[in-house]
Amino acid sequence: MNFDEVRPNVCGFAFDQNRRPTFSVRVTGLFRQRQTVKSRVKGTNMRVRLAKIVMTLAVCLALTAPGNAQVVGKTVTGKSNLKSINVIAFAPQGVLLVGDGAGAQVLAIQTGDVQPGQKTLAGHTAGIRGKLAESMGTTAQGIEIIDLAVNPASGLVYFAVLKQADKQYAILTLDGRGQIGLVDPSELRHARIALRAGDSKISRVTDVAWADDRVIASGRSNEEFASKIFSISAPLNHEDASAAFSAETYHVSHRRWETKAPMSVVIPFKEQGKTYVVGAFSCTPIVKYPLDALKPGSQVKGVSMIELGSGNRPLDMFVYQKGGKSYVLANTFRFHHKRRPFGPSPYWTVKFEQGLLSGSQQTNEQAVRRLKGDYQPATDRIQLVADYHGVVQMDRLGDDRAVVLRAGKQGMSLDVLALP
Amino acid sequence: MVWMAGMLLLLTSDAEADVVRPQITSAGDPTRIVVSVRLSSQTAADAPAGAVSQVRAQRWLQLVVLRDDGTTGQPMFARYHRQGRKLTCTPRFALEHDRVYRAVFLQPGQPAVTEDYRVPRRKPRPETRVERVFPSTEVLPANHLKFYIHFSQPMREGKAIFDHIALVDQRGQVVEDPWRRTELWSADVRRLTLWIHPGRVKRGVNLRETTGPVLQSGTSYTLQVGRGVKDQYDRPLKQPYRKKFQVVGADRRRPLPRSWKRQLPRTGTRAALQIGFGEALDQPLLDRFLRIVDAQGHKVPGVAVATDREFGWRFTPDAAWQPMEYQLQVNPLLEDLAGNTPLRVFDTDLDQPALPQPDLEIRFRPRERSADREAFKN
Repeated sequence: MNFDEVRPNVCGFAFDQNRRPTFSVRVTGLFRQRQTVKSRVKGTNMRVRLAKIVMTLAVCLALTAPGNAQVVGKTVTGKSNLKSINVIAFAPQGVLLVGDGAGAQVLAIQTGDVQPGQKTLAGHTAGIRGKLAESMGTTAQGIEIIDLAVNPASGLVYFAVLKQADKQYAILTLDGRGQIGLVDPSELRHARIALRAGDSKISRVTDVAWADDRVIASGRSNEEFASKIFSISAPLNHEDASAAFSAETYHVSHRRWETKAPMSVVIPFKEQGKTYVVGAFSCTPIVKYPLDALKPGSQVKGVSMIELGSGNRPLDMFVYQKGGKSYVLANTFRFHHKRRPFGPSPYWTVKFEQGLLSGSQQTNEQAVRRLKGDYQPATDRIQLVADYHGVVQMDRLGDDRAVVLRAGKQGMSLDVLALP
Repeated sequence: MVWMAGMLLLLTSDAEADVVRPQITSAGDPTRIVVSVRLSSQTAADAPAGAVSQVRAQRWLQLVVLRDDGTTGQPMFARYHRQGRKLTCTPRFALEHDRVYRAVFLQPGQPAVTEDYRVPRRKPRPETRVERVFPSTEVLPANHLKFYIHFSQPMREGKAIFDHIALVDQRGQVVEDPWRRTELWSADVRRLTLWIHPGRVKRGVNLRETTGPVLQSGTSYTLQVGRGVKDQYDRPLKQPYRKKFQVVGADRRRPLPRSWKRQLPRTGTRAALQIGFGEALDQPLLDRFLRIVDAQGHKVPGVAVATDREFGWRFTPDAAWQPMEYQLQVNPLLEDLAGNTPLRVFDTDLDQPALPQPDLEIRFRPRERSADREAFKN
């Protein structure tokens, strides 16, 4: 998630009567807070003056840095009323977001896990499923790992797990020493926010993500063919409700506009100072929607930027930097694997330049396609990542690695891979 | 005096002579246990009174799963509590039937002392089966969208379930990749909504064009739910389930309330209002998206059921019908088997002009006299 962009603008500069420089700084960043700081820089030489200017700017940045913006407001402790866990993701300040479809809600948990650097996973963890299962009193076969997320504040890996026999959900952690921990929402401060979609009944949250100043969630029904995007403004307050939207999307491989197709994955994206929600759908357009168009009751029209090809369902997606460039890593499940495999596993991963999400030329019918008609690559800006074959779940770990859960012949394994 | 002195000595002696084996007790439910040990005085002094963190307490007491090969697993998550020299461990998760757990008591300078506990086998439960599948009808349109599979028990979740549900045509050929592989369960995990992949249903869509539709008109199929589908206890189905059906031409018409037939009840009775749709509609949506309101706009309490393989709907009020105008209100999200709603056909091209808005409120008055007995009418 690219939530740490803060832009200070020096908007006024002058010399006072004693020829001392003064300036005012407006800082716009997270949560659209603006702060203006006036500073009169004293000092007898330029080096000292410049140092003080830099220090003042640093203070301004710190005031609006992610750690200080408020993610949650009113919270409670006690019974969380969690009925299921479909997805987990992190917001800043160690706040864990839990998408609960059966409860038609998002839970925002203040984990308190904000100390960096101590707990980072480094390498291969064999038998992860068995380890998690045994901590819950069962064996590997007795659980399902539903999702994983890495807390960017600390590097700790979080798992959402279902114990099959009694349908108990749990949130477990794994640190760099191989220690497994338990996150009990009832013992932590949390906020529950309802996902209300009018007459539509949302029964599954397909993804949840933090975007600038709000939480975005996508959900679908287990009865009518309906899906919704939800927006919850920060600070997240206990028993707040979300705003629901319908989204109109151009499905590139389907060559038509859709309003009901469910979004599988959601991430935030920034372009020229404007924030978008980027969603990935089955079959497999990558679409961006302007965040400021998400107004209650509205139908938002998306712009399809990329088409990864039909026969696939996206699972996870995140942005990262490498070599001074921004990329998006996305893993998918290919339900046409037997018919036309893309690799040794139906789970395959692709890396594409984030710049493909920008611009207005190659969109919708003209969206950039990964493959030509003969299944050959149509562009080198979207690449299959062989090292990530078999990845079922993944999330970014720091600036240069990813934690991946991979399906192999020996069962599930947890690995740390370099970002491609 | 000697006797009393002896008792005093016994009561004040240091615990090393006490029984040190972990005690495992349960209050009725064998999957919910408490493990307790008696700490030495010195160890007890190290442990805080009251709640003790697991990190600290498991230096002295752990509960672990015994693997099939006899080795032990990770310590289970538990709550620990010390009162006096008694340390208790209460697992945070229920134990599993027919599985062995080991309590391990660790005392400084002494070998570990263990006590095994086998949770009894679960009381025999009926084997799990498919209770029914909706739609009930055995004639489906070629653009049919979904099945609702009802199981008798909560089921094991996971995408592997789709590998055990197949569509087989009349020649015995298995239809390849027919499903959208997204698990959509009811809250009690007893009903699976099984979607035919919409990309193979919608016309002009790339997936359908390259792979073909799932159902062909004029063909019969069997929906097979195999024994590989398991319940929450990892038990296979008692027997496979099969539903045979015929496929007819695609349905691309909206279900319009104006075209429905009605059999009206008599005033002063609690006879049922009966509606005939002329086609099968989506069963769960019939429960949610039809309602009767009175002349004041209040919902009329009563019992509604789908009838005639979801071709019809019957509403029986709790109180007698009054001589007033009622409304049958139809939610625009109501779907037929092809996903068409009163507002739009399922695979509508949004670039085309919208269809006229239908009337979603059907007004009716109960009959006044038996002479006015009416058959189904619009």
